[in-house]
Amino acid sequence: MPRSRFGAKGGDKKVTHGMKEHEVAQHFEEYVLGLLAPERVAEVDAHLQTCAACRKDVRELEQAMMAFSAQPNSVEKVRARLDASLSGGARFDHLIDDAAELFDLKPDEVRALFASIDDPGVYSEGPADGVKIIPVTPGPRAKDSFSAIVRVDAGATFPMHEHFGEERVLVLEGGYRSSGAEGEFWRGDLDVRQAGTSHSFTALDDLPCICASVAWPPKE
Amino acid sequence: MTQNLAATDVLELSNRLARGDRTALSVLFEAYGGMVLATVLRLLRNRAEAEEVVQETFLDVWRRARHYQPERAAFSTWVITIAKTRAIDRLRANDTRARTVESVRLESSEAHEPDLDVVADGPKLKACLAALSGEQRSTLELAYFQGLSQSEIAARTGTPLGTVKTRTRQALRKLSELLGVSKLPTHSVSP
Repeated sequence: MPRSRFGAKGGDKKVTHGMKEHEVAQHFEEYVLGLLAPERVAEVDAHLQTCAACRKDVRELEQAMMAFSAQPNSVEKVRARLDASLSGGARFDHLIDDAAELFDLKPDEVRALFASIDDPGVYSEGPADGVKIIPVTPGPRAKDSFSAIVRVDAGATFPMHEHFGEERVLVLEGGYRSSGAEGEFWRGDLDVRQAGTSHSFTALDDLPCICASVAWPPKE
Repeated sequence: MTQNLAATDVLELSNRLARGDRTALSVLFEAYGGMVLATVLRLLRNRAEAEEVVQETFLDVWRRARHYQPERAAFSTWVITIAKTRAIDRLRANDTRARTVESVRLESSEAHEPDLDVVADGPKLKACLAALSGEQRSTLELAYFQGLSQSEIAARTGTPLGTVKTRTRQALRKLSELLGVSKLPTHSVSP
């Protein structure tokens, strides 16, 4: 191994960039694992810029780390933070702006709405088994619409219905298949239905489908 | 890595992820999180910052899963590309020496992409890991997957700090020798 060049007993005192090479080499493992203090990292970086043998040594350690990292295992601290970031209504955070635009509400109002989305107590029964609705009071621009959060159990069907005016549906979670030829709509998709059209839709099998919906009355 | 996930499983998981299935995210994180961390560490050389970048990366993956195009890149490649971009942005933002350091680290991380054939060779990797002593392996696991500092490992296991450092070094060195990584050609990331 190149490391032996530095003298395992500390006998080689060759100085490079103000650093004793054997001192640099003894930090390579911590350097690779990201456990070295920033000032030490800078010293190792400086040495590696001039020493091809040490770069090769570090690369070999990196590959060992990469191999080790490839086990099916979890980086625990990151997993915990990730779970916390996506718990409850926070999992919809990236859709807040789209939903705020749809409902003509402020982002904080939508955030509060999303925070209650897993509470069964806020839902009313919908038009079929497995379909539930939270009526939403929209902002001024959408005040004449029927606005709601619609939750359809996995595999359940929202029955055939006609759109008397335009309807916009933003999928927040899961997905559905429409009875028409439009295919599937998944999380993040906006499904715009024109006045006079009709369809039913069925939630896909893996998750309940949760949507934000704004249905307008017919234009006069 | 993907030795525990078949390509068809990855496709199904990425579709479930796109629909907002957190269980799918959890499975994909367990499969790729360690590898993404290794990739980011090669650029940032700082565990705490690297963990933040891995978290940001998987949040991006959660938000952008609908835009992943399996016909264009393997899922692992897509995730690693997001992670590298974030890590390089952070390197540039943080480090006044970034330009030089970045070029050295990129040379390390791209021209010499760790050999993922080794990684993907599950039986070989398993045999190499089995050849580590229990203490070497558990020390490296505590450092890598639990993210404990050397001092925290010493306190938790009642082992002198010097011994913890030695075991960490020996574990990485031994793994490197057993895998024969230096003798193998390099490859790009693959599913």
